[in-house]
Amino acid sequence: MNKSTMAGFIYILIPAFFVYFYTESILRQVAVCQIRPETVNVSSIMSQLPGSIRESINRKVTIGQLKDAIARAMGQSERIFALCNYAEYSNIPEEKEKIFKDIIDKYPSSKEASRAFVFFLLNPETKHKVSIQEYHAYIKKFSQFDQYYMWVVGLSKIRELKLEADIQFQYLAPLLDMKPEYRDFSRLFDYISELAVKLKKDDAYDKAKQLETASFSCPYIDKIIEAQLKKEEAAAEKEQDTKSSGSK
Amino acid sequence: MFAIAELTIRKLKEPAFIFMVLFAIFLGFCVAGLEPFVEQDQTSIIGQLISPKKGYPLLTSSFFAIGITLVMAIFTGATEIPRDIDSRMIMVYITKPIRKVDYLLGKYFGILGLCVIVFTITEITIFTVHYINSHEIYHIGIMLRQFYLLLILLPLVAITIAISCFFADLSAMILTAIYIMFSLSVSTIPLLIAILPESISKGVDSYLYTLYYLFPNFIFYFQTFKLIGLAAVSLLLYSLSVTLIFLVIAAIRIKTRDLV
Repeated sequence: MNKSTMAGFIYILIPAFFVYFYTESILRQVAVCQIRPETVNVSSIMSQLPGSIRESINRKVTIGQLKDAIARAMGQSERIFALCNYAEYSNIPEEKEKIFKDIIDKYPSSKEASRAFVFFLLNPETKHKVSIQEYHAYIKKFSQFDQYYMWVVGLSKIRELKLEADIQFQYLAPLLDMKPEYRDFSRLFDYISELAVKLKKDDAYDKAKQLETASFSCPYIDKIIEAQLKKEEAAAEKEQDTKSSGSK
Repeated sequence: MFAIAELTIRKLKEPAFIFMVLFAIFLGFCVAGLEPFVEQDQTSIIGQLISPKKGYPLLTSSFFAIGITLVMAIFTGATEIPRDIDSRMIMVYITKPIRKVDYLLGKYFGILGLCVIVFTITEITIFTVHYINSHEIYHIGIMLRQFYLLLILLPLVAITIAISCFFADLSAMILTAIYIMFSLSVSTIPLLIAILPESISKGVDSYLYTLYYLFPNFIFYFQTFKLIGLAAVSLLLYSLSVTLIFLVIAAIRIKTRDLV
């Protein structure tokens, strides 16, 4: 093949490759836009894979999504929430412990860190531990509104560890010095009274029953949240109405 | 060049091709009543890709039509040049005034012509059967969209011819089929990268794209787009560029190959 023919082929190939890459990028974007990646349910695709590899791929994808959520997190609370999600999903104990420990060290006063505190609460399998007193000190930083969830998850953890009734009582004891603001606390007072019967603590039983009765006159947390949401929705609707009437 | 193309198209008179055309008509008759693919599966990625939000969708029957045409393109494209070389007919063709490149282009346009005829006959059968069954004619836009599938034949015939310039007929046929199947799998790479979490795709996407660019993306031909628009023009230019690349590879091979 002579040089001029070869040069001719090169003159054809260079623009052909240029057009190929350029048009391919346009068509690729059209294709990707049409599938709307954010709406594709990855698990539905995974379900079509053979069972033997589905689990491991599914796990990798979920971990990838959780890591992406950490990277995309806007603000401290969202970041802590994403970190906790990732740590809970991780099956590497050292990694899980390290992430939760970092959360406790960096954000000791954030309510989103409660899952990290609960993870270490009297945990016999971790090097770092959170004592009942330390957990109480953490909980007391927040309002009763936020505290309720923390008390409940802490109690669940202690019950999950199948700890003795006296430890459970020790954990819930500070509630006896608290004036309940929400009806939800009645369940905890009821449980304290059950423990008090077991441990033959008559004074504690009376106090718990009194507080339980007192909490009956308080509103439920759910109702307050519901009312808040309704208020926000109404405000949003009003704002939209104002905007639409303004544009008219 | 046109003489070679004409000679190739004349093969339509051969019993095998007549049988193929009859089979295409029969297939068109059988699949004409199938509901559009979009209505069958709207949840899958492919369903979303060919959803009719911004244009006319492909008919399920057209998938069968292009399928049979692709089979014919591979069978014909992969065998024409190796058989001419084996039977030494090529020596008759490439005597003056026909150059090797003209012979190659003639074969290309001839095979393309055969495929266009088969696809058109199948589509006309589909439209006719639909009209007979429902007394309704498809919208002109939908009909035209089906014919945009012909663009897939431009690179496909070029690929088949390029491979047949390197290998004997049977090997070329098998290799073309493997290459096309591989292309279809690799075509999903950009979609997978888009839906997978960034943390997974980030490290491997450059390697995947290197592999991806070695194959044409046939999925582009099945997505929904406006008949006249950027996507349609891009698809035409994309098809032409891939065709040119493979035809140049074929031309270089046939120019340097010992044909005796």
